[in-house]
Amino acid sequence: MKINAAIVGVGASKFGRFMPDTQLAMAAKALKEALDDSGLERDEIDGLSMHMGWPLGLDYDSVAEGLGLNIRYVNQAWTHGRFVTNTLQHAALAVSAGLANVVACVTAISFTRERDILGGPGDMEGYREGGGTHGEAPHYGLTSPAGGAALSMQRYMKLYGATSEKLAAVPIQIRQHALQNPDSVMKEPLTLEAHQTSRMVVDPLHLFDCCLMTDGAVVTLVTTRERARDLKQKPVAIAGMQGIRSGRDEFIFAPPGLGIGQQPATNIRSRPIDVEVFEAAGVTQSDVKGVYTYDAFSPLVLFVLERYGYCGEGEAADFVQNGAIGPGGRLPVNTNGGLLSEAHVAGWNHIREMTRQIRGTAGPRQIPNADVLQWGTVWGDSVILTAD
Amino acid sequence: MSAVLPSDKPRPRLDGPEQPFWAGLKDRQIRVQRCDHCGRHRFPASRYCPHCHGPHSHWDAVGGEGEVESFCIFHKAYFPGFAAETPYAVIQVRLDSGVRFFSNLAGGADNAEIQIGMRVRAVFEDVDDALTLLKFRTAEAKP
Repeated sequence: MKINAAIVGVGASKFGRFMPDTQLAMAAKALKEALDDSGLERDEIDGLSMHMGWPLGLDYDSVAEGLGLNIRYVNQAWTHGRFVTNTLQHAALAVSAGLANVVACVTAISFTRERDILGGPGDMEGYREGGGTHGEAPHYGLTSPAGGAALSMQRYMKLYGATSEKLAAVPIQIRQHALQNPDSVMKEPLTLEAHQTSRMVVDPLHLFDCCLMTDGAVVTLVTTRERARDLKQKPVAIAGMQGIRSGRDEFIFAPPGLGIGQQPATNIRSRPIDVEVFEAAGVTQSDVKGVYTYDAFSPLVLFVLERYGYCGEGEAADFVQNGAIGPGGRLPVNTNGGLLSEAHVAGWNHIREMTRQIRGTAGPRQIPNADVLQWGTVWGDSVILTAD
Repeated sequence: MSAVLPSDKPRPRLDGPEQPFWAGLKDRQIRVQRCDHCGRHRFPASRYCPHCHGPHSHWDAVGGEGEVESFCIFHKAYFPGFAAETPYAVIQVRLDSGVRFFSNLAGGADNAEIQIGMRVRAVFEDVDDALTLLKFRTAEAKP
C-alpha cells in the first residue's frame, strides 16, 4: 500500500503555564481552529488518532463524545513523546487504506497540573514490570526523563570533547526562533552566560537544556492527497515515513551506538535503517530545508543530527555552532521555538509549524522555499513533509 | 509490589522477572541470566538470549568488578526521599562479564571524583530485611 496522505488543517489552543481550560476545552478550541483552517465540516471527521490518554489525559471515547464526533476509526497512544510520530503515521495509514476519510490527530496536555507524574512521586511508570520509559531506575534516584538525557550527554562529551558551552548553542538558537513566534511562552533572548549560570537540573544539563512544562492542545487534520487538493489550503503531503526503532540497540535518549542502557557501544551513529525515510520520500538530506525534532532536552538535537546523517559521529556539537540551526542558518531546527522555548505540546506544535512553513505562511520565521521538511526524533521515527 | 510512600525512597519491584537477582543480593551475590547456548551473561531478565536467541538460561553469579561508563548528577530531587542527598550521582556500570547496571556510588563518595572509565567494585547495601541494593565503590577504596 502506498501512503496517500496530506495535512490539510492545523489548529491550536493558547499555550502557557497553568492554563484555566480543561484538556477537553483546549482540544475543542484546537479542533475548531483546525476545521476553520481546512474548510472541512466537523461531521466530515470520521477518524481519531489520539496522542493522549491515561495517566495524563482523556481517552478517545471521552474526546469523541466531548467534541461531538462520530468516529469509525481510532488509534490511541497515551501522552508520551515517543508516540507523536506514530500518531501521525496511523492517521496517514488509515486514510491511505480507506479506513477513514479524515482523521483528526488530537493532543491536549495539562503538564502544569500533572507535574508529579513526570519523574515525581505520582510517577508509577518506573514501578511496573520492566521499569520506566526513560530508562528510569527510581530506587537509585534515576527518576526523571532528564536523567537519561544527562547520562547520554555525559558520555557523549567524554567521547567527542563536546562541552556544555557548545551544547548551549542549541537552546540559544531555538530561543532565537521562538522570539519570532508570538505563541512562544519564552519571550526573552537566551545568552550563553544565562545558560551557563542557570541552575543545574541533572548535571551536565542546565535549566535551559530542559524543555518547558506547559499546557496546550493541537489538532492536525489528515486526509488523502486527492481530497487535499480540493480543500482551502495548499496541501502538505506526507511524502515518506519510517517507524520507531526498538530493541537493545536503542535507549530512549541516546543516539545509536553510544552505549547507554543496553545499547552496544559501537559508535556507529547513522545506519541504513536510520535513513530509510529519505528514500521513501524520494529526497536526500541535502533537499531538506529544515529539521523538526522532539527537543525535550538540548542534547537530543545533537543526537538527531547525527542519527539522520546531517553530520558524522561526534560532529554535531560543532555542526550547530555559528548560527547553523538558528534563523537564517544552513539547517534551521525547530523554527517554532520547540519544546525548549515555544511550548511543550509534545511536538504537535512543531507539526503545526512545519505545515505553516510548507504553505509559506510562517511570517518572519519563513524558511525560503520550504518545500521539504523532516520531522525526526531521537528514537528513530520520522516523517518527511513536502509541498504537493 | 512494595508500598510506596511519597516521603520514602522508591523501591524496586522484587516480584518481577529479576526476582533471582534481588534474592541474590541478599546472599551477597550478583546473579544474572547466563545463556546455556552461547554462554553470555545478560541483564535485565529476558526470555530469549539477546545475542544468540537461545531459549535456555540459568541464573549465575558474576564478579563484582567493572567500570563506570557514564554518570549524571541530580541537583533536583524529584522524589522527597532523595532531597537530603542532592546533589547525588547516578552511574552506569559495565561489569567485566558484560552486564550493565544503573546504580550509585556507596556512601561517602565525592561526586567530583567520578570519571568515565573509572574502575569500581560491587558493594551490597541493605535497605531492610526485604531489600538489598547493588551499589559500587572505587576499586582503589578499602571495602
